[in-house]
Order: sequence, then structure tokens, then C-alpha cells
Amino acid sequence: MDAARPVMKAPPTRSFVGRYFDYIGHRWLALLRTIRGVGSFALITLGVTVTKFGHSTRVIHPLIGSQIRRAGVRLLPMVFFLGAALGLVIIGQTVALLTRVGAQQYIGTVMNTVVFRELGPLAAAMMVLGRVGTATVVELGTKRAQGEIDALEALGIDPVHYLVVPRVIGLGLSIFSLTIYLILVVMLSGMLFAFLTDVPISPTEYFGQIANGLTYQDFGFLAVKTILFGTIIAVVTCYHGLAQPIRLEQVAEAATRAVSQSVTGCLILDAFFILLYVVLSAK
Amino acid sequence: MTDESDNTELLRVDSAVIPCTTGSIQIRDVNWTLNRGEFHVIGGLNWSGKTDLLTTLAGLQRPVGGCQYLFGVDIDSASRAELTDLRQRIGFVFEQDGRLFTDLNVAENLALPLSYHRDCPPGDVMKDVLRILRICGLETRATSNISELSRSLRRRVGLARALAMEPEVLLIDTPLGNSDPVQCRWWVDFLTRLHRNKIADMTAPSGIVVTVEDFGAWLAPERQFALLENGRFHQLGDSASLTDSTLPTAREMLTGNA
Repeated sequence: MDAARPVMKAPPTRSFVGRYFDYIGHRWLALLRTIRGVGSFALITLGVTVTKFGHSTRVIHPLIGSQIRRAGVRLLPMVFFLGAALGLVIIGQTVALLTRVGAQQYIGTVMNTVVFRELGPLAAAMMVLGRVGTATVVELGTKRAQGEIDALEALGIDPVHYLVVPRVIGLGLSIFSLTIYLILVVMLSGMLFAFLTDVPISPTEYFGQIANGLTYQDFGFLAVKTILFGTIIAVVTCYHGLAQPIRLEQVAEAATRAVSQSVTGCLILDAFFILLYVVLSAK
Repeated sequence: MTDESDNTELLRVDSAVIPCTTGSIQIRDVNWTLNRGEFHVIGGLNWSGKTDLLTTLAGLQRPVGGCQYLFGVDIDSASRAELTDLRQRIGFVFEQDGRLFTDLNVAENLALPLSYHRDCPPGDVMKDVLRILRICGLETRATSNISELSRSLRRRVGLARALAMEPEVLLIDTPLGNSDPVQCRWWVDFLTRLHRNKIADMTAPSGIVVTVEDFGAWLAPERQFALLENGRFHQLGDSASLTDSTLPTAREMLTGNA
């Protein structure tokens, strides 16, 4: 009888190094799965945007408008505050420093590099991510958990067309517009700081330096970069809220994951643009 | 599928195997057809797979085995666009709170699918929306938020939303769950009149299917009955066959409301 009784075997113990490698392996696999998932979701969104272009515009266009109001217009006061702070703290002090060492001719270059290329787009994107991105995950995650997405499908409404496409377009345009506002406010408040601290530079010289430092390429890259930031934030947050089965208690965790992945995505894109600038300026 | 049966056959599954998301069981060997003019009542206890069966019949999930036909078209040979078109001819009312869009009010819930498919501003479809709300006894609730409604009323809004699309087939998942006797009577009476095409000012669906946890309220000679139990689908026939059934669960579900 004893021989027939199943013997409970203890699971084989693994060494610390083995467990560590298991952990690293799992993390890498999870990362690859996420990249694959987000990539597929982005392609599906692109496909739906193209195939359903011009379809149900009288329903979709107001939704795009409401996303622009939500992620753009309502963020203007905050952008103004942030821009004024950045202008006073960073640009004003840089201008004062450069003037003190007699390097006013570099104001345009510094302004262009710091605000136009890097700080402006990233700051606007991070603000939109914090204010709208997290809310998007919670909204869509709750809809998914409560079965509203099934209801959309049952009514023949494509959830990607109705929920994701307006967010991608709305966030892209919002971040682009907010970046422009942010840059203008930073420049003005930087000038104000210089004026208040008696830096010997006239407004004409200040704005002239900045204008001289800018090229058409900068404007083009700014537009592409900010629209892509919006696309990344919208796709990643919608993916975490919408693309996989989710329970109500998992929504908060999904929002945290979406924020960290959106930040990573935006920084990787930013690094890519820095490389592009380096390559183009070397030519 | 181009034979004569196409004219009468609405939905059909042959030897279908239906996975259940709510448990580890599968519903096996389902052979079932809904023809024009029929009213089917499918009973089952909690967790027996009624919702999975109904969502499969509506084409919202696929069976893992067997064949399925929507309006005579084999879903395996249909393109994605064709399937979307076929699914729009089926109205589906979800169980419990009807899965309404909680960020829209009652009228907007009905207007959304109409505006989306007709590509017009929501204001243009309001005449149709108010007509359907009046038919469903919800005209005073048009501007109510979803959170202000009871579960039973939410399901009724779900019914109105499905009817607004003028479906050929209406599938309703457990309409009487958590309803008081007045609401239960309204549902049974409304669906009976709808089936007999006795409701003015609207096109009635050609076929109706409801899932129930209790056969008692649904006994009527013109209805067909079936039972889901332990992953098996039992065709019971008409109400006379149901009352004569020897299946213990069928009898339990009859006597439960007697």
C-alpha cells in the first residue's frame, strides 16, 4: 500500500545565482511581451486610423475636439506657470551668466538647445502624461472592466476608432500646441528676469540672438517630436487600459505601469532625436 | 448556404463547442437553430454558461469547435467586415446593469450607435431615440445619468439601445435578474407583445432569445425551451414538453416559481 501512495517531492531548491538569473530572464521576457503588445496595438491603431478615415466624422471629430480641450486648453494655465518658472530659473540665470562672461552671442544657441529642442517638448509631454495619460488608463480600464467595450463591439462600434484614435490625434496636437506656448512663455519670462536683474542686454538683442539660433529644421523637428510624444503617450495609456482583459482592482497598477512606460518611450524617442541632431550637425 | 432555408433561418450552430469564460467547463455538442418568428427560452442555473452561449450565438465570441451560421453565412468563411455587418443585425442586451456607457446619459446611450452608423450629429437622431424610449416606458428618463437608475431600469435602457438599431434578432441575457415583480411583469409582457408584433411604431425583431434562471414566468405555447446543465445543451421543445420533462433541474426551475 505504501508503495502505491504518491510521494510528495519538495521542489528542487535553486541557488541564489540561479534564482537571480530566473528573475532577470522573466523581466526581459515581460519587457519583450510589452514591446510586442504596444507595437501591435500601435499598428492596429494606425490601420484603423487609415481604413476608417472619413468614417463617422460627425461623432469622431467632436471627440477629438474634447481631447484637445482636455489635454490642451485646460492645461494652458499650468503651462503658463511652468513656463514662467522655467524661464526665471533656468533661462534668466543662463542669460545673466552668459552676459557676465561676455558670451551674449551664445544666448540663441543655448535657448535653442535647452528650450526648443529638449525642455519644451519634454516638459509639455510630461505634464500631459501626468494630467491626462493617467486619467486615460483609469477611464478605459474601468470601461473595459465593466464590459462597456463588449457593448461597443455588440453595437458595431470599433472601440479603437471610437476611443483610441481621438486620443492619439488629440494628444499629439495638444502637446505640439502646448510646447509652442511653453517656449513663448519661457522666452518672455527669461527676458523679464534679465530685465529685473539689470542684465545689460536689450530685448531686441535677446530676441535677435534667439531668432538667429533657430533654423527651419528646428521647427520641423519640434512638430514631429511633439506629435510623436503625444502618439506614444496615447498609445501606451490606451494599450494598458483597453487592450487586455483587466479587473477593476488592476486599474491602478495598470496606470502606474503606463506612466513609467510612457516616460521611457518618450525618453527613447528624445534620445533618437538627439542622435539625429548630432548626425545632421556633423554633416 | 444559398438554399431555401436561408429565408427562414436566422441563427444556427452545428455540433458547436463553446468555451466558458466563467469556469473551466465547455458547452459541448450544441445543435440549435433560430428560425423567423421563433421565441427561444434557454434556462440554466448560475455559472452554467448562459452568457457565453448567448455571446457566441450573437457572434461576439467564436465557438472552439463545430460550425456557426449567422443569417445563413458561415462565420468561418466570412470576412471581418462581413461579420461586423452581420453582427449589426443582432441586438444584444447584456445582463445585470446592461453594460451602458456610464459617461453618457440615457438618450445619448441610444443616440451613440445611431449617430455612429448614420454619420450624423447626435441631435439628428433624437426623434428616433425619443420614440424608442417612449415605447420602452423610459421617456421621463431621457436625460437621467446611468448612475441614477436601478439595475432593472438599466437593463431596460440596454433593451432600448438594442431596439434602436432595429435588429432582426434580439438576444437578451437574464432579463429578470434582481428585478421586482412589477419589473418582471413588464419584461415578460413587453417581450410577448414584441414577439407578436403588437407594439405600434416600431419594427419588431424576427426572432427573440432570452436566457433565464427560472422558466416559471415564461411558459407560453409559442415558445421553445432549452436547458444548459453541466456543459450540456438539452433541447426541451415547447412548454408542454418542458412541463413533462424528467430532467430534475428543469423541474426545479419550473417549480421554483410555481
